[in-house]
Amino acid sequence: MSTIKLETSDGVKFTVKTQVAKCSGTIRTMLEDIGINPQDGEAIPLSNVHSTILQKILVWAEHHVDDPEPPREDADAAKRTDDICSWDEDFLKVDQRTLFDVMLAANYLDMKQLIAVCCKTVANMIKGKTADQIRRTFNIENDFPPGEEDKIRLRNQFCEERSR
Amino acid sequence: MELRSGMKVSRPLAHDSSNRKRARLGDAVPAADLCPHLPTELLEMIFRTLDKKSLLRIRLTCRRWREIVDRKQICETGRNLPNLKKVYVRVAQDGTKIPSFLASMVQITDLQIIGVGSPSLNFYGHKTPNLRVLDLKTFDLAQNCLQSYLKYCQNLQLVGDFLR
Repeated sequence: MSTIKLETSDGVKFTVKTQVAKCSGTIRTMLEDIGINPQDGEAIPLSNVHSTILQKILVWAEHHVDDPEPPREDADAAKRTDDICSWDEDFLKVDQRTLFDVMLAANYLDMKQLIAVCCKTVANMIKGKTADQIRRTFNIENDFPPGEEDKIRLRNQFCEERSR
Repeated sequence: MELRSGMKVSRPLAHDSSNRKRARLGDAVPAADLCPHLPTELLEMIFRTLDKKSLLRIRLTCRRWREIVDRKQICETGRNLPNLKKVYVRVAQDGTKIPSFLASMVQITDLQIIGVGSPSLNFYGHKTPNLRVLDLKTFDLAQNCLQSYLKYCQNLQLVGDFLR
């Protein structure tokens, strides 16, 4: 079985099944289009991914390696957030930092399914919360000038009443 | 998958502030400031799955998130307005970012963009085939950039103010 080597930002080398590594669009492109030859034994540098995160992502890729190709741009599926499979749900039961690091790495590695499931997880953390609770959950600084927030609140109220 | 032993993480993660985002699992570093700074494309993807009420609350959290929600709204509105023919855009100070929603508006016939800098127009050039009037007020536009853009605008009748 063919394997390739990946090297993370902190210099850790991973030996990974080629098929698993190809879950990443970025790596796929490197192998197929740019023609990096994994047989050379040289590791593909992943300068934006730390080893702890890559390790986690490889667990995900290993689990999903045989998944069928997802249907193209399914607008309905993209909008739903209750269709996260239970394995993924458990996989993403991590602290917020790790969740965001996985999401950023998945984005860098171009792993659409993993990005989607991370986004849905974050969306579920937003739903049902007030603006203040959202800010606290994600450590967002309220950077509106004084008075601005009230103005937006008023406009929001108007929108909410209209959409009822 | 195998993690090669003997290759240890050598960088002092906890003390290096530039490495905070890459901190190891279980580190005491809070997720602070990571979420608000997620790339726009990821935030857009997260927001796409949210209902209207949650979006209104997102608008109240901070400026950046509000802008992302509002831009998304403009995009959708633009797509749903087949009769929208004329668009006047004022772009931000740096002038380099032309709003991406223009890319989806094939119906536009008149486009006036006000700003400074040298925008990259070919980004959506081929998507505005019906453009008749193009007015690039106050822009510094490189000749070749303009030429490559105009190639796509077969129906252009009037171009104004681009060479002062």
